[in-house]
Amino acid sequence: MARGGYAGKILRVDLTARELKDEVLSPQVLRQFVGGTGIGARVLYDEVPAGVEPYDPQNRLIFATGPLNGTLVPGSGTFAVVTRSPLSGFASAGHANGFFGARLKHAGYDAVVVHGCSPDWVYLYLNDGRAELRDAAWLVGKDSWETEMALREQHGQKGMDIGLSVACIGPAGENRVRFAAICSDRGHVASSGGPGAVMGSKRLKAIVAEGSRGIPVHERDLARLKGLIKGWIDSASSSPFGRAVSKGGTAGFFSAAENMGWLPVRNLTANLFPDHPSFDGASLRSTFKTKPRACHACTFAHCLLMQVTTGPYKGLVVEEPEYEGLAAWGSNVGIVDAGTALMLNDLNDRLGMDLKEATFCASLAMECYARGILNPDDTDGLDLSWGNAGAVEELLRRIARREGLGGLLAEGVMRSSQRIGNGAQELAVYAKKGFAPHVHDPRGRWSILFGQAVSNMGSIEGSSLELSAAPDLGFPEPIPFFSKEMVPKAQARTGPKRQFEDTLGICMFLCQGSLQGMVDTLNAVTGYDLDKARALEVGERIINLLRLFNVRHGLTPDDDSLSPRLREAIPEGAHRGRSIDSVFEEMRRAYYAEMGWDPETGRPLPQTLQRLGLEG
Amino acid sequence: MRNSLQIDPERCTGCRSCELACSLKKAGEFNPARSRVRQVAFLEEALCFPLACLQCEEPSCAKVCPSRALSRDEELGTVSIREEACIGCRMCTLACPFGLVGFSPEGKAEKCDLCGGEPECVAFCPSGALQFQGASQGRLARMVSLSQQLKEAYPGMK
Amino acid sequence: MKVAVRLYAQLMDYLPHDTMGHPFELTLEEGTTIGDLLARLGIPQEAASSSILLVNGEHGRPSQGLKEGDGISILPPICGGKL
Repeated sequence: MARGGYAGKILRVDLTARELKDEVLSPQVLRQFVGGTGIGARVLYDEVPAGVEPYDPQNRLIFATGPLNGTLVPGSGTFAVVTRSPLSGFASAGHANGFFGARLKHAGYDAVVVHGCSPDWVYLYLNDGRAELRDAAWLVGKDSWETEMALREQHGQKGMDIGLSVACIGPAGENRVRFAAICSDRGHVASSGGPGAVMGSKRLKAIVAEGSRGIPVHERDLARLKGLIKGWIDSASSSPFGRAVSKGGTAGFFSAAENMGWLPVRNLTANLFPDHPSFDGASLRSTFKTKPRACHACTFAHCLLMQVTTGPYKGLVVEEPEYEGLAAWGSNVGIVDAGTALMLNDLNDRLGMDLKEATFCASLAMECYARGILNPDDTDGLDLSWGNAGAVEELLRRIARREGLGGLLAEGVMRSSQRIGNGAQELAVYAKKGFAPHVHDPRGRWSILFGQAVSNMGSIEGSSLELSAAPDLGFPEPIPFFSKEMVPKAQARTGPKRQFEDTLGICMFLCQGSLQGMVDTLNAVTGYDLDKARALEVGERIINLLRLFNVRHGLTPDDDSLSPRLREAIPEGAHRGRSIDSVFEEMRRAYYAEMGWDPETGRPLPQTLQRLGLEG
Repeated sequence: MRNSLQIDPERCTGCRSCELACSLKKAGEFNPARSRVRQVAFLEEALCFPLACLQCEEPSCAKVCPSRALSRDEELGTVSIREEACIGCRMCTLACPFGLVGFSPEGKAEKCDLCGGEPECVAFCPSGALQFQGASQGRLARMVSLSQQLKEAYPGMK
Repeated sequence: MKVAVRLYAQLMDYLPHDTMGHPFELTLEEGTTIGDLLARLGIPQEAASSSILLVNGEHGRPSQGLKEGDGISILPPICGGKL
C-alpha cells in the first residue's frame, strides 16, 4: 500500500443529480494502474459498457493525476483526461502540462470522475478536500483564456496565479465540436479525442482547483529522495534533447522536419516548404520578443510568451506554439508568415479545439476548394485558397460556432470528408478510428504513421525511434528509416514505457533519464516496490485494457488502419514515391504478434491478459 | 558583508521549484502552502516574483511577539523562530508588513530562516533567479547592467 | 570532393555563417570521415557523440568515409512519440 504520493481520494460527480461524493480507490487498482491514463482506463473500462455513446450522460469524463504530480520532480503539473471519444467512439486519453495536475492534488483529489448532465451550465470548485458545483451561466460564450481569467478574478486572483488552476472549455466545447479540447493554465491543452466536447455535453464549463493539502512522501531519508530528484532533473536538463528544446523550443526542429520530409504541407499534397527557416525556433526566438513561462517544476522552461515583432500581427502577444502548432497554421494551410501562424494557433487554443483535427479539417476544406469539390456557395463566400489567413481565421470561428461549413467540419476530418463526398474521402488525413494524426506528414516517418494507426487512445502510445535510441528497451541505436520489421517492434516495445511514464503525472519531455531512475523515484515517493519489469507491465496493462474497451465498442483490424491519403506515395521531396501501402498489413500482423494479440483479429490473447492480471 | 536572498525577477521562469524544495525541507511534504518562499505570478506579463522574509534589521514580527519566540540572529543576519516558545497567537503574521510570516496547520508561526545559511530554494532554482549572496554583489550587478544600457547611448572611442 | 552539410537546433551554433535550414557546401579531402567533419566544424566530442548523424537520409557512423555529393545532416536526438 502506498504511503506517499497520493492525495488519497477521488471525487465522483453526478451532474444530473448534482451529487458529489468522495471515494477511495483500492490499493490494488492504484498499484496496478498507478495514476494518470492508468486510472482513467480502469474507470472507463469498468463504468462505460457497450451502448453508452460518447454524449450519453453515462459516459465518463475522467481527470486523473499521478503520484508524482505536485512534487519537485520536473514537469509535475500534468493531468490526463480519459473518456469515450466523440470522434472515434473508442477510448481517448489527452494530456496537458502546466500546473492543473498539481493543484488538483493540493485541492485534495487524485482524480475527478464526472458523469451525468447538468440542466444548467456549472463549474466545479475544489479546495482543501471540499467540492461544490457553482453557476457558470455567466461564463458561457467566453473563450478558454477569458474563462480562466474570469474565474481567477472570481476566486481572488485577478490576473495572477498564487496556486490556483482552471481547466475549462471554450466555445467549441460548449457547441460540441467533436474535437473540442480542455484548456488549462493559459495555453496548456488536453485535446486528443475531443474531451472538451464530452465536457460540453455535460454542461460543465470548468474545474477550478486550489488548496493547501500537502503531498506526502514515503521515503524518510530526504537526502536520498532529493538525490533521486536531482538525478532526474540533471538527466532531463543535460540531455541533448532537453538542451535543444530549452534553447529553441520544439520549433527548433521545424527546419529539420522540412528537410527530412515530414513537415505537412497543404494537406499532404506537397512536401516542400521553402519558407521553413523563418518558422524554425532559432529564427523565431531571435526575431520575436520572448519571456519564459515554465510549467510546474520544469527545469528547462521551453514554454514562453512571445510577442510578434514583424508582419501583419506585429505587437500580438501569445504563447509560443509548439512545432505542431507552427506546422498546423503555417505549412499545412499554406501560410508563410510565422506571425500569422502564431495568431491562428492562439485563436485555436482560445476557441478550445484540438489542433491536429482543426488543421486537417481546415486543410481538407482548402484542398476541396482548390479542386472545385467545394465552391463559394458551399463556403458562404469564404475564399479558402491556400494561405488565405483571414479565411482560415473565420473558418475556425465558424467551426467553433458550428455555423455553415463550420458545422460540417466540426464533425472532424473523417465524418466531414464523408459528408462532402465527391472524392473528399480520398483527400482526408486521418487514422481509421477517426482521429487526425499529429501534425506531420507521417508518411515520411513511419513510426509516427504506424503508431497513429494502431493506437488505442487517439494520440500515439509509443515513441518513434528513428531519431533517438532506447537502450532501456533493447534499442541501443536508432532504428533505420522505413523499416517494416523494426517499426512495429519499436512501437510494441516503447508503448509500455511511454504509458508507464504517463501514469506518473510528469511531462514526457522531462522523462529523459533511465527507467530505473524513474522507478526508484516513484518507489521513494510512494513506498511501492516496483522494478523495471513491473513498471513496464503497468504500461502494457493500460494498453491492453484500452484495447479491451475498444473491442467492446466494436474495434476490428480495419480500425487499426489509415485513410487513403496516408497510404499514398509522398509526392515530392526527400522521400518522393515512398508509401507504406504495400507493407502495412504485414506490419500490423507483426505488431499484433509482438503485443501478444491474435494476429488476425488484433484481440489480446487469453494468456496475455492472464499475465497482466486482466479479465477477458 | 553577510549574504542574503537575492531575487532577480527577470530570470524567474515561474516554475515554483523553490516552493517545492522549501516545503520538502521544512515540512517534509510537497506543499506550496507550507513553503517559506512563495511565488506570485502575473500571467499577462509573464512576470513572477518569488517572495520570502526579508530578514529586517528591525523586525516588527519580533517586536510584537509576546513570548519572545522571534528574534534576530546577528551572526547569520536572520530572524528566526523558537518553535517551543511560540504560543500560536499569530501577532507576527499580522505585524509583518509584507505578509511573509505564515503558520503551520498546528498554528505555529513559520517563516524563512535562510536554512541556516544554505537555502534549499537557491539549490533547486533552475534559472538563477534566486541567489544567496552579499547584497552588494546584487547591487553591483544591477549597476553594471545599467551602465551597459547607458553605454549604448554614448559613442566613446569605438 | 564536395559535400552538403546541414546542422539543426543547438548545433546551428557551429554553422560557419547564416545558412539556417539550408545546406552549406564544404570541400573536403578524399578519405575524410564523418568524425573528421565533426571535428572540422568544431563540434565538441560530447555533443558529437550524442548527435544523430545522417548521410543521404540513412544513419551514419563517425568512422564512415564520405564521398562526392554526400548530404550530411547532424541533429540532436528527437524523443517521444509526438515530435
